[in-house]
Amino acid sequence: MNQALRRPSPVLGIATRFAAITPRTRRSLLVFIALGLAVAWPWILPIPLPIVGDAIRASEYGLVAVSLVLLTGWVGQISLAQASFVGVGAFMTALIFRKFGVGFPYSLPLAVASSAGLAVLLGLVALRVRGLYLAVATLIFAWMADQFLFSATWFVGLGGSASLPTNVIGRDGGFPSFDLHDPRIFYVVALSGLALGIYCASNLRDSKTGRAFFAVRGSEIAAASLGMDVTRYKLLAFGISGAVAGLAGHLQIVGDGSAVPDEFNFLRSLFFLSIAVVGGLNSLPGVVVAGALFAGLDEVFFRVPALNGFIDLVSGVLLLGVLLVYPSGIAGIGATARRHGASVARLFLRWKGRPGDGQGEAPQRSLTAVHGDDAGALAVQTSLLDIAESPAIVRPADRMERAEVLTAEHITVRFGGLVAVDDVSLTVREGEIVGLIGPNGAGKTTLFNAISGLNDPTSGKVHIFGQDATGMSVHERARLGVGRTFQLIQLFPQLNVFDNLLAATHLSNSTGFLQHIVVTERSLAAERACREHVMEIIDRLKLGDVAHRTVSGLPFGVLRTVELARALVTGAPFVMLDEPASGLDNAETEKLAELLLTLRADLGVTLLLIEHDVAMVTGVTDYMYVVNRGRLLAEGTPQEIQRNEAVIAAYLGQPSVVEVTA
Amino acid sequence: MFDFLRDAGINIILALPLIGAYALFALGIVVIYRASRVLNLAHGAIATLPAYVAYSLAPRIGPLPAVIAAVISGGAFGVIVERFVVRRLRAVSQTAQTVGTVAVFGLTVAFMGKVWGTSLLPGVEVVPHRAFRVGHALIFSDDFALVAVAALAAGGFFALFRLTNLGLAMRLAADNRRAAALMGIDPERTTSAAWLLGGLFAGLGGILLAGATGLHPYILPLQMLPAFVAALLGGLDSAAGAVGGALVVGLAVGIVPSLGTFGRQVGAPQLVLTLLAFLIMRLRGGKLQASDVRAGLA
Repeated sequence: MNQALRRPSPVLGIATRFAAITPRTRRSLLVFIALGLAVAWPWILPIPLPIVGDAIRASEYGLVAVSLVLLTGWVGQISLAQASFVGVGAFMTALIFRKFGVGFPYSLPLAVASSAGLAVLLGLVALRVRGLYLAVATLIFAWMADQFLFSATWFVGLGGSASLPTNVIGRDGGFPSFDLHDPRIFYVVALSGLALGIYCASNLRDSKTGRAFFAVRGSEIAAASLGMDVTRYKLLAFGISGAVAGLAGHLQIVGDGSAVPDEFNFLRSLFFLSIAVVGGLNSLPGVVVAGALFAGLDEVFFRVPALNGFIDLVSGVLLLGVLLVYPSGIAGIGATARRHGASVARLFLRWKGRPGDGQGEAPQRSLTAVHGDDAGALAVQTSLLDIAESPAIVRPADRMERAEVLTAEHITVRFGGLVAVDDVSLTVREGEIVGLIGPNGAGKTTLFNAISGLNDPTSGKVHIFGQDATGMSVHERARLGVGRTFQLIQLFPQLNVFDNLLAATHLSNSTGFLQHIVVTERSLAAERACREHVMEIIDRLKLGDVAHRTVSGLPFGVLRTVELARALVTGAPFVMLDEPASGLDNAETEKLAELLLTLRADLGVTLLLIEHDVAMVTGVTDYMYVVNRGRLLAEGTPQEIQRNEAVIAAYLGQPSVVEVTA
Repeated sequence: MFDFLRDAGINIILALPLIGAYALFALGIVVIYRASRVLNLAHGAIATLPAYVAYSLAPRIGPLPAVIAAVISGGAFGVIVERFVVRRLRAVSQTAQTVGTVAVFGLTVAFMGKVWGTSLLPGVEVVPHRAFRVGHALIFSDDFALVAVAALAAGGFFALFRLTNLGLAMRLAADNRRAAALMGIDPERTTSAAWLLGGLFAGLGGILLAGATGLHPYILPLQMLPAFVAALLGGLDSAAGAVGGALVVGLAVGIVPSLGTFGRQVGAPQLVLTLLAFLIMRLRGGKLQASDVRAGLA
């Protein structure tokens, strides 16, 4: 009796112990238990086999939805051909069996690879189109797959359907051998496929690769300026998405034993897209739940005679309702529920007299656009960057002794008959702040784009850090050590400030895509180092207050600073600023000028700025170039430029401006 | 060679009604795309519903009034989809708008399947069904009607766009919504007008095509896919391009099957057209794309 009193009840004991472990362990434990239950329930519960079949179907739907999250949700490429990729995976599995007699699971790699390959092929074609053009491209692809590929007897098999007669893993009757005719066994196989897909996709999301996906979706120009190979990442996304869809197809035909083309037609692609949208296009858990929901609906509407044939109607209503009422889908509903749940838990804990525990679990994730606000990363306190040796202030006399960072020689850019830039040469030397000014339409931005690689000069050469960069793409130039900002701000609208900056660590993080999928020690270490580096820059530019705000909605001046910060995070020793003061008021412009001087002194970056604001340029630069009507009008120190009659006449106009700035 | 020409000729004549229908559909897709930057994936449903309406009304009020009423219903359907789905999703994203049309498509197709069943029904005969012999092929009078109506509609369309104030306003609003609004044009109204026009054309094409090929809630809406190819071949925002694209699609369907063993394979024309469309996209594609932070969600 006494003992029983002293010892708490076992349930309470487990609960206390559970509360005591760290959130991270708690999460892994929960995942482990959930997985165990997910695997074991068909054996534990007295459940009719068709329900197990539904669970298999739900896993397959979930996989296809995950493939859509990757491609459409993260990279922003609408795919109306997802069912075609699934179909290729399924029919290839049957084809491999017909030709080589190889079945599950040995045919898996080839089946998945052919889906991925076809998806990459579609991606290659669609590389240069985007948005709705891309959607039409995938639609046409689905049409072709439907009419040609899935109608071809060499691919699908005679009689217009493919079948897979044996469903045994291993040698029949031998050991180990699993008879997949038992749906419970196959359910475990399908579930493992889904778990694998989710595991890889979520690892990818929180890695350098995932950030590159988001960056490509947000702004391709900016992504390239951070050194991301936009082409590579688009193709990668198509490839992974195709592979995951192909895996779903492979599992489907192995589970069903046969497949017909109608299961992979255009309507099916629309159906899969519906699942992904109802789940919330960005969210892996959301779409998996949606997959289960649709599989469940299938079953209910099939079983209940009164509901027969209403499933399409109901899914249509469901999709439309979700879109109109709750555009973020099941994921959004889940997020709202979690918020309410957290406040209820806090209330409960306060009532129990244990305040604050509701805050205990700081999310580990970074891509907060997906998950809402993330306070965890802010807690990483870092020291200020060691102040670098401040380089001596540039004097015009020793200008020629410094190393050349950028030389543009005789750049000419023609657009048809229009000569936008006519034989302009300029040089930027190490540690300098160089200004490029000129009236509207003088060709400043065209020249700037020719230097950064956005459009190729008709003639002339660009050398960056001594290397010939003429003809290099934007991301290759970024690799040489050039960062830039944009006149029309090019931040990634879906990401918060921290993640925008984290995306800029792309080049300094040398880990590869495979390491991101499986998460190695090295990739984790690199990720930590990148985060610390970003926090340093955030502190330096005093962006801590907005670090976890999404960029859309921030004031313009802050956005300019964030863009500058992003260029600095790349670690590029040479940064080009395209009209950094445009849209800023006088006070902000002054602050910006101060900031540029501090950055040069502290970090030793070399700067080239294009500006409208003459006062600002003469105030901070060591050397200036003036262009007018595409030609170089003058060059020299700010003092020389201010005295230059031609410049005053052509551009400055009123001497008063010069006096103010002198 | 002569055999090839003869086969191709006959095939092209047989494909003529398809060209007419695709041209009508593609015109609608393009008008709607220009006005609201939405890929109207519900277009096939908007085309098929009027065909069923005509089918149901014809025994009661006679074929011609039924067809007129049905075409109008197509226009109304287009306006409703724009007003209650596409416009409301504009604030969310372009993707959401396009997916919204997917939802309308699925809902309408399911609705038609429930109301009229999933067996093939005969479409309403607008003109008396008569056969003419050309070479070895039989050509039907309603096929010609389809081509004639399509040509008339396309002509009327261009006249509307080039010659009327509404056409001018629609073109302006399509190019720049805000500027058009500053000029005193209500962009919402021109958008509605575009969807009305797209719906009318879709309805007309759907009714005529149903007369030629029959009515089915799943098959007829999917006839929209070649029209999307036609619209894309023409550049997706050019009306003249859409008609030209429809011609190319029709000709490919006619000619490719006469090209030896490859051509006789099922789906060979579709493969050729897909490759053609991809080639054109590859040539027309632009450079890197910028973002617009102020636009917010994408």
